[in-house]
Amino acid sequence: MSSFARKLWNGRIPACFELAMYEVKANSKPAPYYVMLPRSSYLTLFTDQIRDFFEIHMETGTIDEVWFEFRGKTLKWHYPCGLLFDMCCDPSTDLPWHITVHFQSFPEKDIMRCPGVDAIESHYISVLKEADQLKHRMQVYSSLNQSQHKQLWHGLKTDNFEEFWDINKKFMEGHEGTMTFKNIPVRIYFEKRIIQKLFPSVRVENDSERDVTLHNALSNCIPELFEDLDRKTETTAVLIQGTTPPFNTPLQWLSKNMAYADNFLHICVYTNNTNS
Amino acid sequence: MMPTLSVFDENNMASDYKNVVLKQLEERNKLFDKFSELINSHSSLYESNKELKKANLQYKVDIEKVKDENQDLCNKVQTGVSVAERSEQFTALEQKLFKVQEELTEVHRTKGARAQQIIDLNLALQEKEKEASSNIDVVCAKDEMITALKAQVSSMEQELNDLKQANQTVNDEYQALNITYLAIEEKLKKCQLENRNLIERWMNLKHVEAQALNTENNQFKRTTSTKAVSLETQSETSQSATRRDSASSPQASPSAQSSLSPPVAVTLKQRFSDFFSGRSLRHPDDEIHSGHALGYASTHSSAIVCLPQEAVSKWAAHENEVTATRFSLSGGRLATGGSDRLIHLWTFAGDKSRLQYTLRGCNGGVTSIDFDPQEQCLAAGCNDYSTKVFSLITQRLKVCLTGHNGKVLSSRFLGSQVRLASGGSDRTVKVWDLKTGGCTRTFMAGSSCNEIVAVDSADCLASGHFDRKIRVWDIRAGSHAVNEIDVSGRVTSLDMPLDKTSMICCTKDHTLELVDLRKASVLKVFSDDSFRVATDQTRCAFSTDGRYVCGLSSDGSVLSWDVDTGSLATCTREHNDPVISCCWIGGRLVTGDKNKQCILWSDS
Amino acid sequence: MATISEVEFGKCCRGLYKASNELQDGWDLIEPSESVYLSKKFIKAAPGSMQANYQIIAEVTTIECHVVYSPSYSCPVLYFTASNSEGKRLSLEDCQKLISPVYQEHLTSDFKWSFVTMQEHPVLLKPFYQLHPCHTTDFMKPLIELRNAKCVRNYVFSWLSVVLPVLGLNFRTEEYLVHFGESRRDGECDTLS
Repeated sequence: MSSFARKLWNGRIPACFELAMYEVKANSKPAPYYVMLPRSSYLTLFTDQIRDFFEIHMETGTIDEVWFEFRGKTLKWHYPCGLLFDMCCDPSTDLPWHITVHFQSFPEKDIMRCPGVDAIESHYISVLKEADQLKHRMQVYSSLNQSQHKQLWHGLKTDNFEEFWDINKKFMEGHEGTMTFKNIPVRIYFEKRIIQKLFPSVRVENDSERDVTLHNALSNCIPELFEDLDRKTETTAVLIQGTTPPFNTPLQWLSKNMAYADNFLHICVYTNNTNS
Repeated sequence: MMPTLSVFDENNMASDYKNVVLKQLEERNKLFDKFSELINSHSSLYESNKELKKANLQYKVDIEKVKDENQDLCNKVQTGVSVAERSEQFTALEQKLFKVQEELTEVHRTKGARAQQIIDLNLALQEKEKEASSNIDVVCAKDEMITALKAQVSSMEQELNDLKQANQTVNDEYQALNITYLAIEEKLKKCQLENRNLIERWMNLKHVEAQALNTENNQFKRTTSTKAVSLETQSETSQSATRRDSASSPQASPSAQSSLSPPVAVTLKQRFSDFFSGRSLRHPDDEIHSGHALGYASTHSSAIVCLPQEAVSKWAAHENEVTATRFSLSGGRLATGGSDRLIHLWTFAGDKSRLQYTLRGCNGGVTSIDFDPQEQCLAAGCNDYSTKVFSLITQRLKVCLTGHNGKVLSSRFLGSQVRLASGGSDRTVKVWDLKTGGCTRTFMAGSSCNEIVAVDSADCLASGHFDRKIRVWDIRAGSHAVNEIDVSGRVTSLDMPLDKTSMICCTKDHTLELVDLRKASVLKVFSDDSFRVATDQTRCAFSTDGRYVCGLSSDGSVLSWDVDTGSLATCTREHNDPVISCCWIGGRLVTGDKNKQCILWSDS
Repeated sequence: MATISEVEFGKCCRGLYKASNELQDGWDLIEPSESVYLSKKFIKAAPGSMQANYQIIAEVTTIECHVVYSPSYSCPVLYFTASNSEGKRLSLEDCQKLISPVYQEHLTSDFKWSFVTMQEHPVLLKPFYQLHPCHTTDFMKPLIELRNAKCVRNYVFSWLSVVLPVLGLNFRTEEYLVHFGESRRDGECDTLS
């Protein structure tokens, strides 16, 4: 299924960065900056380019840390780009993704500061560790050495599929000789909440082992929407990496194949009413 | 806005979910990738734009630089004033160029020369390298030699060390030996020094002795010179008388003894009695007689013989034994000899003895003493195998007669001053000539001779021997004894009276035997119970008138027998020790014993 | 195993909250949904400010602590934010200064990013500082064994008694112990895995 992984990897989001108008100095009209954002990447990895692009349009001495905003909503840089898009955009109407770039008034209370690429790396690693803790009780992560950790990050940073998956494939192995993970690292983003619960890859039901499906997870976390399977509501949407897998898809399979680079399954759920 | 992608299709088979997802992915990508071309081309354009801008900027900077340079050059050009000056500059430049060209040719030439030099130097270098390599070979060879030599040197050194050690040990030995040598040398020196010291002392002592002798001799000379002066005149007259007598009858005959003219004896006697103060001593004056036995008879027979009944005088004569006593013929002097090697000359003042002088020179005990007929000499037989003849005038040793191989037990003048007979324990009897000091006759007696008497005035003598024989010798005759008389015991002493007709012999068998010389037989034997002969040389004495004989006993008693009757006349014990010597010349008997004592006897 | 389930976490929090109320320790229990968490504000003298007897402390630091359950690590995690007297938020370096000196060495080693880090609060979705939970099991294990001897079996209580001093914050352990001893029924949690 490497072609699958590659297809997933190649998923890009066309983004158009525009400088906030009120920050532009007089008499200069900055052009927008277009970038194809990899889904697994992080916004702040493009900070340097963006800053270089827009620097000349800024009054000298007014440049603070870069932060991004979409339609008035501060974008959290520590979410993967794909997740952010799924959370706040409709692909049918919102392409390209117009992100406003701010150089001033960093909203400290809302988002974390990103002092450099090392901060992004450490955040990525900590999420990865958390995922591995769930999947393998941190055994796979501990078995890798420092250079392998660096390689993972480097592959992600430079958008190098082979380099990344050379190490990442180890994280897709089963736990302690089994074919499955111990628990599935999954987060559900719904209505300004993040729901994370422990889901093993198999469950015992009626004396037989059955895969834990996506529906199981969704109904467990957001019972009001998903308990009734028959209820066809055109109002709810479930997005994983920009796709909606069938509800009977095993969580294990999803975690293995549809996870982000940080090994988590980030699932966006939104209803019509609360389209954030 | 609902994504048309959401599908709630529960009819999907389990395995279909994969395909569904895949399809959805592909559709997603298609949708999103619509923009990729544009955005990619946009970003590439942007990039190239950036690059161009950068390059542009760079060019601008370069242009500015070039413009500046150009400006400088224009400025420089404009400072040139006129064309003429420029042509001057041109010629100057041409000249410079010419010079530079010349320099260039020079440089080329030098370059050629240098190249040549280089080639030469290279050749030289090669040669030098060859030399160097050959030198290295030589050096290697030398090094090898050096190592070999070093090995030799080390072995030599080893040898040297060994030799040095040996040398050292030898040296040490030498040192030690040296030290011992020095020590021994020192000892030797010390010994030599001691030796010298001792010799010096001995010499000194000898010197002292000689000096003492000298002084004594001088004294004696002085004393006797006065005596001699007075006596000489007397002796001359008597000598002439006796010589006439001796010339007429050389053979001694006992009967001729009484033919001496009484008046001569009386005058002599008178003189001597004047000479000797005190009691008139009727000693036989035989001292002046020149050894003629015949001459004695008259004077002697006229002397009054005193029997030894009473000790008139008793004195210590010698240190120990008084072995010989002899009155001088004139009776005035007594010579005593002892085993202390001294000969004392005594005179008598009345009854008291007075030492005149002492004759020294005997190296052994004195065995017999005899005065010569002129009373100028004294012969002493000594235990040192010689007879010493002293001069009574000088009181010094005149002649030492050596030749005997044994002790000289008796020595007698044979009638003259120049002839002497001695007999010793070497079984010989020797006759000496005093002029030469040599022995003229030696008689092999065959037995130790204890006593010698002169039978007659010249040529006959009798000797008594250990083998109980008395042998009579004639000097003119051969070497054999003329007569041999056997006696009963070992002969210790012989004596004859003045008339020389008979002889008394003392034997060790404690007898005195009267011997007839003509008949050569024993006439009488005298003995007594208390008469015990003490030594082998105990002397006996015949009274000068021939009537009595005296014997000396070991218990200290002095016995005398009457010759005619053969009976004991007197037996007086005054000595405390064995009596061994006596002399009855001149009428009064003197005896000496073993313990220093001499007694002069007289009758009561 | 020094971890607890979410359900047990909730129980412990409620028990602690009750005890805190009785002791007036100032802990709040917040229930945004079926999951709960504890929060409390601490006021501490700013490091470096002089404190003389009877004088009002000029510089104070306000530290707000939240005890939130982490499903990934199955243990509580401490989120906190610190601000000075003017309400200005302290930077990461300043927060690191809060750490008691015993743990300072962790900040200088390679674990710099993994000890005290800035994370998004899982409930409030706002930036908070977090004490990374990856070492929690290490120090909770001996405590579990020790705890079995005692009557109190409140995981969260034990965990707080270890974690709060790391920030140099005071936790009235003895008083809680006494309280738990008195009211066994309230403060107890069942055996923890």
